[in-house]
Amino acid sequence: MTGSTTCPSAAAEPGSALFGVVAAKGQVAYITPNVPVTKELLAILGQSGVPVENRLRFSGACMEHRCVQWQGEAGSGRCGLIDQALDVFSIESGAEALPQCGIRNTCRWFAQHHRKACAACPEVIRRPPAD
Amino acid sequence: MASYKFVYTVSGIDLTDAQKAKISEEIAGVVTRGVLGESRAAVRPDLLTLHGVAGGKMVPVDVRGEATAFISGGCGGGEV
Repeated sequence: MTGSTTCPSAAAEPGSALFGVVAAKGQVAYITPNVPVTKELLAILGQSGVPVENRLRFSGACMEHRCVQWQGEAGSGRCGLIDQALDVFSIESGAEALPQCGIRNTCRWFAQHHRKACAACPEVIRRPPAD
Repeated sequence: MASYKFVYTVSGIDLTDAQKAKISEEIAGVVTRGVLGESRAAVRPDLLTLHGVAGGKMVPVDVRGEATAFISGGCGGGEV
């Protein structure tokens, strides 16, 4: 399947975990411990009228070279999404205070950029609204 | 950075895994509704609006308006 790191922009599907709620643009309320995603949980959230992959953040196993975001060869590449996020926001220093994020120990983005990844993380939304 | 911890303990009975999962799901639903309140509309992140980068898949600036279609594969679910 994959390596041992965790993707912080995973799909909402059984097997992934809910780790954050997008309170507003650029603001994520992190939930610890993460909540395992089940069909029932997705149903509950859907019934609430929440656009699930827009207002909620899910984690899952990093798919590495099987992911469209992967840059490089299998086993030796990196996640291009967080690289680009830091670049476009010109983030050069890490977040001063880190939230109690439930995936930091295995987070793919944190592994690549440490605290700087945490500064960019709230800016990422998996599925923007349709225009 | 603000942090809020809510602790609830259920004791006196043995819960099944299904019961524990149900309680966890309900708590997640309550937290989500509590944080979002009535503000449940989809948001458009600056990362996409200003820079053409979607969380599920990078979107070229010239096709930004078609973002939804481009992220359908998504992170973790894309093809090589």
